[in-house]
Parts: sequence; C-alpha cells; structure tokens
Amino acid sequence: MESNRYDVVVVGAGIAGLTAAGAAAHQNLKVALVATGPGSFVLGTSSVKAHELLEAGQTHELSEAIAFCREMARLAGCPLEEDAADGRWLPTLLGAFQRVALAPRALWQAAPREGASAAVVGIHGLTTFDENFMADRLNENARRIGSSCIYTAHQISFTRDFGIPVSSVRVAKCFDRDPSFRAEFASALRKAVSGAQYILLPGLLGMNSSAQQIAEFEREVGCAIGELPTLPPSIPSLRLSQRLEGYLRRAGVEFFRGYPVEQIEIHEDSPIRLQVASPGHPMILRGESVVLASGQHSASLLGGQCAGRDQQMHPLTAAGSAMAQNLFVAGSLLDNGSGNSGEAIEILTGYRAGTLAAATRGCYAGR
Amino acid sequence: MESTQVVIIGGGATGAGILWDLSLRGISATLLEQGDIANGATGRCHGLLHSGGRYVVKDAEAARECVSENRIIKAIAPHCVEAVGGLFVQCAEDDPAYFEKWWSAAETIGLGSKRLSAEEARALEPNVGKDIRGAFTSEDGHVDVFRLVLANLEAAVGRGARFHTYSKVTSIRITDGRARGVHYRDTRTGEEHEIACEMIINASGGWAQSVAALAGIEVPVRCDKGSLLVLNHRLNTRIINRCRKPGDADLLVPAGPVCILGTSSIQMPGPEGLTVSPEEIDHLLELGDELIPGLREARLMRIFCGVRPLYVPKAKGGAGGREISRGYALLDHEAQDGLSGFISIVGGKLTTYRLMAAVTCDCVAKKLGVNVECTTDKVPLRPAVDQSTHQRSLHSLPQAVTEKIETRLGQAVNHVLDAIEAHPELAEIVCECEMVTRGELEYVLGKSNPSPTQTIADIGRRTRLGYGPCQGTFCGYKAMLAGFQTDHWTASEAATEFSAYIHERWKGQSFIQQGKQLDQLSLSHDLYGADVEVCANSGEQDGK
Amino acid sequence: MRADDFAIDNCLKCSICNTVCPVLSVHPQYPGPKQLGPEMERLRREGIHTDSKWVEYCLGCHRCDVVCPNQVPVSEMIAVAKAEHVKTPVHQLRDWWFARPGLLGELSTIVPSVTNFGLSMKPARALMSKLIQITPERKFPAYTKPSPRKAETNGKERPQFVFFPGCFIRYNRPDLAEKVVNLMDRNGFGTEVAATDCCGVPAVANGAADLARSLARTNIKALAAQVDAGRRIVTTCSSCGHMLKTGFGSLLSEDKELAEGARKVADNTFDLAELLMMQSDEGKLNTDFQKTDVHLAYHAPCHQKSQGTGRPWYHLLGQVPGVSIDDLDAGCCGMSGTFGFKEEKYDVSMAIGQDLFASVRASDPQFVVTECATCQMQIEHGTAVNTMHPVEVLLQAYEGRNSK
Repeated sequence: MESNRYDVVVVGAGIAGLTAAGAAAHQNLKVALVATGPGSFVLGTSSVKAHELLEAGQTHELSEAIAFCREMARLAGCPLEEDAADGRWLPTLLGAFQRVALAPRALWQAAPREGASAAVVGIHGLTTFDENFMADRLNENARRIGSSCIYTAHQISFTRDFGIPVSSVRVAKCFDRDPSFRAEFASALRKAVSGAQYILLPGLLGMNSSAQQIAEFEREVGCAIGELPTLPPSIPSLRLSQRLEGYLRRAGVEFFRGYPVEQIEIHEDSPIRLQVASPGHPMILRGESVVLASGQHSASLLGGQCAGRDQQMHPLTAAGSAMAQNLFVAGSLLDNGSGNSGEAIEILTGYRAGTLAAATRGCYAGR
Repeated sequence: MESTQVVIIGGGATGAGILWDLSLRGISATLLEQGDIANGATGRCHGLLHSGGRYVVKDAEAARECVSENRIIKAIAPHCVEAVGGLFVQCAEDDPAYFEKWWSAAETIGLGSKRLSAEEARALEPNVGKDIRGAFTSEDGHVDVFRLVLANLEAAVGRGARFHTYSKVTSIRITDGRARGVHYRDTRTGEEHEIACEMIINASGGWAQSVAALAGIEVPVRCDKGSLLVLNHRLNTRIINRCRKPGDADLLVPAGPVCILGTSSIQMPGPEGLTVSPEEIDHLLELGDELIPGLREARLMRIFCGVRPLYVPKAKGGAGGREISRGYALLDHEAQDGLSGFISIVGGKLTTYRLMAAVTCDCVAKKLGVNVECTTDKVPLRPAVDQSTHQRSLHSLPQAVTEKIETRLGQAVNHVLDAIEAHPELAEIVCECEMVTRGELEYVLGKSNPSPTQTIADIGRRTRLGYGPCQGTFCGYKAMLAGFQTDHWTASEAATEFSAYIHERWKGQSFIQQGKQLDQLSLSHDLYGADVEVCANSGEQDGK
Repeated sequence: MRADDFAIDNCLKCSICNTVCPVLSVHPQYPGPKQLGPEMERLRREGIHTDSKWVEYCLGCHRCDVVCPNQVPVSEMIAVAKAEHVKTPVHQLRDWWFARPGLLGELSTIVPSVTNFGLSMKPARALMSKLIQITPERKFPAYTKPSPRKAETNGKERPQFVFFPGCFIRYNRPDLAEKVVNLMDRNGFGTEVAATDCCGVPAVANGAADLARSLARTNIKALAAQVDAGRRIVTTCSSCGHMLKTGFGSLLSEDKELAEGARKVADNTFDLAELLMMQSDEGKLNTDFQKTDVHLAYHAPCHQKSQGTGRPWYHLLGQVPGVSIDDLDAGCCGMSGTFGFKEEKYDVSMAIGQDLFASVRASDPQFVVTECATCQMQIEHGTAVNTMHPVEVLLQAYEGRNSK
C-alpha cells in the first residue's frame, strides 16, 4: 500500500542527508528525503579540504563513511576521488592551490602534473572566467608549490548563441542534450590546444552528465580535462547533486522537494510525524526513524534545545539524555552555529546516522 | 617639484568643497588625501542632508544653517541627493512636551514642516509603529556621500585643480614662521613627493590633530564614534527621525536600495582602529525596533563605524559627544599660533560642508589678495543630462540601468555609450544589485575617468558595486577580472587586490550575529577562504 | 510588518534558481528569475523604473521557488513585475482574452460546435495569427456544452467535498468532472461540482493583477462559505490547486477580511491525488482495481510539483495490477497554459519541451498520463503519443474497461 509512511525519513539534501539516505536505502528500506535547496556543498565547491579531514580525525569510521560515499557517487556516475593522506593540490578561484582530500573526478583532474603542459581554456563571452588570469596565476603558484607544470592560455568560441555574456548554465544544459554541440565543443578544443597534455576548463561539462559521458568527451578531444572552480552556480557541484539524487531515486528513495519541515512530533512508541510546510495545509510524512540533516534548520526544529549528540547519533537534551530512540542527527547542525564543520563531518555523520536509523526501523508496531 | 597656491589636506566633503570653491575663484590648488575619497567621517555617516529638524530645539543657528544649505545642495547637486523628505515621528514612549517644543521651534525657524496625524504618517510610511502619536514632515534628504565628494572634485578638476588619492602628508615645510610646502608619500608605491605652496589648509577631520602636529600646532579634536547598521532593503521611503532629544538609533535613512540605521556616540582615542561590539549592535537594533517594529527581523547586511571629529576648545573639554556643538571652527593659525600659511577647518557636519568651505576660502582668498566672492551656492556642480544623451542611453541600456548610470556619470555617460555602441558586450551587467555595466566599470577603471581608481573598493565608491547583498562576493570578482583585462593590474596584483578587498568586505559583516547575511558570508568564505589565506601568507603587500 | 516584506532578504544570489529555469536554458537573452525576481523587486523598492519585456517570458512554473534553498518567493516577485509591465497594443489585446478563459468559455459554449469549427479553420487561424499573434501551429481544445448534473441525494453523512473544476474541465471536458465525482464516491466521499469562476492563474500569467484579485474575491466568498458549511475543496487541475493553496493569499494580503477567507480556502484545498494518497496512508484507499495491462508514462506538471505533495498520481496508478508506469521526470513541458499559444513564444515553448518529448519517446508508452490540460496538449503536439487524464485511467481500473 503506497502511503506517506516511510521506514526512514531524512531531512536535508546536503551531503549529510544524501549519504544518510543512501545508507538507509542500502538496507532496502522505504526511504524518503525532504529538503528545500540542494545543500550547501553545492553552493560552495563540493570538495573536502585536506585540513577538514584532519580536523575530523583520521578514524576507521571516517574512512568507512567516505568509502561508502565514494561508492555511492561512483554508482551514481559522478565519482569522487580521494587522497586522505596529504590531499592533492587543486586550483582555487584565484588561481592559487589548496590541498583537497576529496573531490569530484572532474575537479580532481585539474591538479598540476609534473613536467606537463596544461592548456587553460576560456570561452569567448564567458566573462566570469579569464584564461589569461588563471594561467598567469597558476604558473606563479605552481612554482610556489614546487611543481613544474606549465600553463598556457587559450580561448575558444561557440557558434551557438549562449547569450551575452555566455551563461554557463546554458552551455552545460546544451552539453547534456545535444551531441552535435559536444562534437563542436570537442573539435574547438582539439584545435585550440594541440600540444598540451591536458586541458583546464571552467566547469561546464554538463549539469547531469555521467563520468562515462565526460570520459567519452575527453576521448573526442584527445586528452584529459580538469574542471576549474567558478563563481556560483557551480556546474560540477550541481552535477554531483543531480547524479546523486538520480541514483537515490532509482534506488527507490522518494524525494519531497521545495518545502521545509516545520514541525516534528516525537511519540514514544510510534513513528515520528513530520509536518512539511507545503502550500495550503501542511503535508504529513511519517518515519519510523528520522534523520535530521538540514543544518541550522534542523537545529531550530529541535527548538534550539539540541545539546550535541551521543554515540548513537541521537540528539541530546540539555540534561544529556537522548531526545528519542528513533531520531538521529547528522551534518552541520552539530556545529553549534560556528559555521561550516566541513564536508568530512557531513559525510561521516550522515553515513552513521543513516545506518543507525535503518537499524532502528521495525522497533515499533503500527506501520 | 609640483607647485601650486594652495594645498588642501583631506579629501572629505570639506576638502573637496574647498577645492571647488578655490577653483571658481581662480586660485590654483591641489588636494591630498591619504586614502580614497571620503576616507573619514564623510564616507562613514548616514549621508543625511539635514532639514534642521534635529537641531531646532537645541541649536537654532545650526538649524537655520541646515535649512539654507539643504536648499542650496539640492540646487547645486541634485544628482547626489535623494530629496525624499523626512518625518519626525513621535513614538509612544517619547516625551509629548518635546514634540510640542519641536513644533513651535520649527515654525519659528521656518522649517516648512507640516503636522500629521498618526494615520497620515502611517499612510506615508506603513512600516512605522502602530502606536505612534503623530509626526512632522521635514525637508530631509539622503546624500550619496561619494558622489557628492566626487562631484566637487571633478568639477574642480574641470577648472584646472588637481587631487591625489593615496597620498599621505608626511611633513610640512616651514621656514621663517611660514608654511611653504608639504612632503607626501604615495601609500601604494612608497614614492615620496613634494609640493611647494603659499597656503596649506588642514581639512582632515578626525586627523586634524595629527596633521596640525606636523606643523607643531595643537588642534584639539575629539573623536566620537558612531556605528551604523545597513539593512538589505529599503524599509522606508523617507528619512525617519524620532522626535525626541537626539539619542542613539533614532534615525533611519533610505540610501539607494538599502536603508541605514544609526547611530551611537562613543568617545574614541583617535580616528582609526574602530570596531563595534555585539552589545552596541544589539542596543541599536533594539532601539531601531522601537522606530520600525519588526526591524530586528530585517536582514542586517553590513556594519560600519566612523568618527565625528568634534572640535573641543579647551573650555568645553568635559562635555559629552552630543553636547559639544556640531558647529565648525575656522582656525587661522597665523593669528592664533604665529604660523602663517596654515589654517585648519574643523568640526561641522556633512550638510554644512559648502558653508565651511566658503568660510575657509573667504579667509584664504583674503590672505592671497584674491578679491573674488564665493559663488558655490549658485553654480551647479554638474550640468544635467541632456535629452539626446538620455535617449541614447535608453536605446542601448535597460531602463533601470539608464537611471542609475546617468545619476552616477552625468554627461560623461556618453563615453560609456560610445564604448557600448562599438562593443555591445559592454552592456553586460556586472553588478546586478546596483546595475553597473561592464562599460561603466571599464570607464571607471580607465584613463578618461577624472577620478582614478586604484582598488576594487575605489570602484565601489564610484559605482556602488559590491554594496548589495553579496557584498562584493560575486561582482567584486568580476571587477577584479575587468581590472586585469584592462591592464590595471597584473594577475598577481589582481588576486592580491581581490583578497584584500573581500577581506575588508568580510570585516564589515563579521559582527552580524544572525540572519541571512551569515549564510551569505558563509558562502563567500567557502569560495575564497583558502585564497585569502594563501595571499596573506605569500607575503605580498597588503594594498588598501 | 508583512512577513512577505522580508522574503526578499532571504536571497543569497546563489543563482540556483537560474539553473532550473526552463526558459533561461533555451533562450539566450532571457535574464532569468534571479534578475527578474528579487533583483527587480529590490530596485522597485528603491523607486527605480524596472520594466523589462522579458517578464512576459516567465512561465510561472514555480520551479525557481521550489529549488530556492531559502524559500524566496521568486515567481511572485516576477508576477508583480508582470502586473506593472507595459505591453505592445497587439499583445495587450490578445492577452486580455487569454487572461479570461472563463469569459472565453462562456462565449464558446453558447454553440460549441460553431466555435470548434471556426477555431479549426485555417483561414481563421491565419487571421488570428496576423492580427493578434496567436500561433496557427496549435490546435485549440474542443469546447463542450456542460451536461446538467443531478443533485447529490445520498450519503449525506459521508465527508463532503466541493470539486473546483477549473475552466478546462468546465468548458472543454465536463465529463472529467463526472469522473472525479465517481472516483470520490468509490472512496467514500460525497462531491458537489462547483460552478466557479476562473481561478485566476491565466490572469496573473498575463499581467492582469486586478482581474486576478477580483476573481480571487469571488472565489473565496463562494469557497469559504462551502468550508463553513463543513465541506472541503478538491481539485484535479494542478494550476487551480496551486492557486487555491497559495495565490489567493498573496493577491489579497492587503485585505484583512479576505486574507482570512483565503487562509481558510488554502487550508482546506486538496489535490485529488493527494487526498487519495492520504486515504492510502490510513489504509482506506479503495484498491478494488481490475487488472489493466497498459504501459504508461506519467508527467508531473510543474504546478503539481510546486504543491509539494510528492508524486501521488504516479504511486496511485502504479498500484493498479497490470500497469507499468514510468515517471518521465523530464522537466517542464513548455506549454504553460496560454504561453505556448503566443506566436512570438511558440519556439521557446517547443524548445523547452524537447527533453520531455525525448523522454516520452524513450519510454514508448501507450499513453502519457498527466493531470494538466495544457501539458496534455503540448505532449500530443510534440510527440505522436496520446494522453490521458489520471482520473480516466484510475476510473477505468475500477470499472475494468480497456479502451479509452
């Protein structure tokens, strides 16, 4: 019988929420995910900085969580690459380098390569990116980190009208839909960068493209391509979010998008009742277990009373007791408002909360 | 070595006003400002063009000055003024006796106010409290302080005057009891320069004391800090004053798309190193909430502070910040300190800048034997945009952009339109909150701009780029790229400049405790956090 | 202060709204919801003139609202801009009619056969194209005289609903109203079909804010009275449903008394599928379905997604034994009510629909099922596949017939 009753309901579609939903769905349960936006990892750079990993502590649990998240991303067609030990130097918006521990493959490939020449390619009319600026800066900063990679600047133009200025959203969507555009794009790149070992581009290679499709594109071009971070909207980040969502949908997770949970009702021996602020009267979702992973919004749902969590990922009252046995918290709400705890914590806590939530299901009668 | 008749130290409203006035009298002058235009109090105030209403009860003379200067400034610089008018609102907690006192004083002085019932006041300003008792109208307005200073400077340059920003006076050359020149240093390059002159005017506001000290003279200036809160969108159409004895947070000024709440009054040791405390912010918000209920829920976008430089002659040393007269003082150091060729103009407020300049220039003209009267009250700072230019703008640009660019550039918009007609991609809107096109950006960065820019913040002052909700996170980056593309900066300089810029923008948001600006700031940190660190650590010079 | 006064503060300029806007991705000059919504609103508050012809291209699909991480009511702000927008005289004339499907319906159903014949004639369409820029590419839906309804006689003790049909069902497919009553009956509800005015969505879309407000007033008076009499409201046209749940409130927020009525209506309006899903939650859904072997593809209209109720039709139809159903999930169809009929917007409309058409072809269903009338028109226009209303499918599953 179809209904709005679920084994696990996850609140929040950031990396914590998506990982939690994935972990619960992995147990073949009926999972729902309710969220407003795409999560703050999309607004930023969808990567885990090396120092965040260090701060999170190199535990076995964290490795397990990251491995799970990576596997999920791989199956979703948007693999995440990792270097937990030192992190990899990846370019920043200002052409410097920072150590990154985990990032989508397309961004990962932008790392400097020893003894190589990299072509930094801009698009005529895409004014939020300047290939000369980027190439100059990367050359300067590559020396600083002791890399011998050489960057040269190039520009290509498209025959298609993507607006003045060119919108990265239009280009990315066209990349997804139109094989003839991809062919034109590949050909332009081939012509512009003969001689370079690999190419760096602002993130444009599709909003929903799979790793396979990107690899195909790279083959057409004839060399590897790394994507560079840009001003929002970050196409590679959106791609990760879309692919993960697509994967989770195919795995049976039901998405409720657009409206926040405005109230949660916890009852001792029955499922948790979530009231979603949909237009008109609220919509009710019921979850045997619920994972709250929507950052500060989750904190306010708990009435600002959450004083941390226990080992079982239950939120704690000020007195130190778990608020409920079937309620879990994950992600940046555990930060106590001091800002981004970093994606590593999101992944770890999301994984743990999702797994524990899945294990708790079935404790109550009255499904 | 440069030589001129007068050197003006200080590029705020007063200094700029003096430069213009002198140029109209045919006296050659050069202005030196250690930072960018309006670096001190001028650039850090509400931008209130007083109607006089805030002085009617306590200081009739100041009120009269305001009435007269208000009219003059609206006539000579209409493009700098939002002549939206104001209200003096009586809140439930305010003293009714003061309200009546205000009314009779206003009538006596001739403010031109009308008395409104509470309903009438709320009809004009729906966001004031339900329990207000009534209000008076006033001729208050909002001045874009940067535009006003620029208008004076550019008009003066048009008549042969000169000015240098990022030029800090390091010493004053005195021989035989006469000031004959200044040494100054370019704060960005470190280069030293000298100017020979007949007269030096110390118009440096909060720094008047330290500048005077260079000449071995004591000019006691009290630095009184006021903090101001910028709210993301306009809650009011008119200036809203609280009709009571002037105190904290009793003024909400609409300023372009935002509104500014303030202010406080806290004595400081000097004009620099200003910070604001969470208690101060909380206090201001609480009071602001009395004026406009629900204001606490509005998005606080930025906090800044400035000092009122108050002239404190020894006799009044003990009085509090608001008690000391906001009147100004012209100090003829030849007469009072035996140093000729040096005068200081101190105190005052933005609204009376022109008057202060006039008084100063009268003195200077007399000393230089130039027999020309002041005409700044009659000569417009800039010609109005003519119809054909306006039609040209409407043809090439969306309506909203036209309104803004014409206000900012006047007839000079033709330069931008020429560029856009040749290269249509220059019509791209780079700062969407303030409708700044790429064409305008390149003009401001370029050589034909009479007021050269060195930093992204300078661009901001001339165009309001970065003054919207994103606080430069997006448009500042694009401006940086534009500066690189027009060879203003090398890639390395551009990156350093942007890091310094965004770091400053962050500072203005760092004391905000709650609300959406925190999310905005978090996004900005996420994008640039690593870079700001890298540039800080790379040992490159922190340009301002 | 009004709560919506501060909604503009929520915008972080992240541009996520731009990434889901169907028009931005196909039209190179369309500025996008971020600029036409919160940025123009901020300038309006400053007193700057901000008219832009691009507001006409906003579909009102609400995808920007749904994706915004901070619930900025982007499309509402664009609707304000639409109301202030000045159109060319030709478009003004045309859009005056488009804003009034209720009026068009009344006139067209006087002698529906004549209307239908006239609207299908090539010369007539050529003239419409030339004079008021209605594209000749599209078929108008056929008008039908409504059949008189027998009053509800039994089951007064059952929960009672009033069905808000919307102009399409009222003037083009009155049989669907009967089917809704039938479905509701099978699930233990009594339903009365209301003779209502247009919900006002086309009025808002075409910038006729005053008309929308007056329609809202009429509808609220009637519907609030129904709610007071103990009935709840059910819709199946997702645009009408969205309007009843949200639009009345924002159009009438200045008027305290009506705002109260609007709230009442919003609280008591249910999409039919949503209602049946709630029954399913309680284990009360009538699952007495006959086996129905058919391969279907479901398209969720934008205004269904914006109601935030998940995808109940997809799940309900999936419960019918024998039904195989794909969730197309391929974005906006591009029709957006009257938008796709406008000649100058036809190409944009079709460009937007391409992803959906491709998805339909890939699914290769016997029918595409969707509850939005104009989505149906667009899908039939852009693919070779016939469409059905989910109500028809479900009823057939109950009744056991295998043909349309």
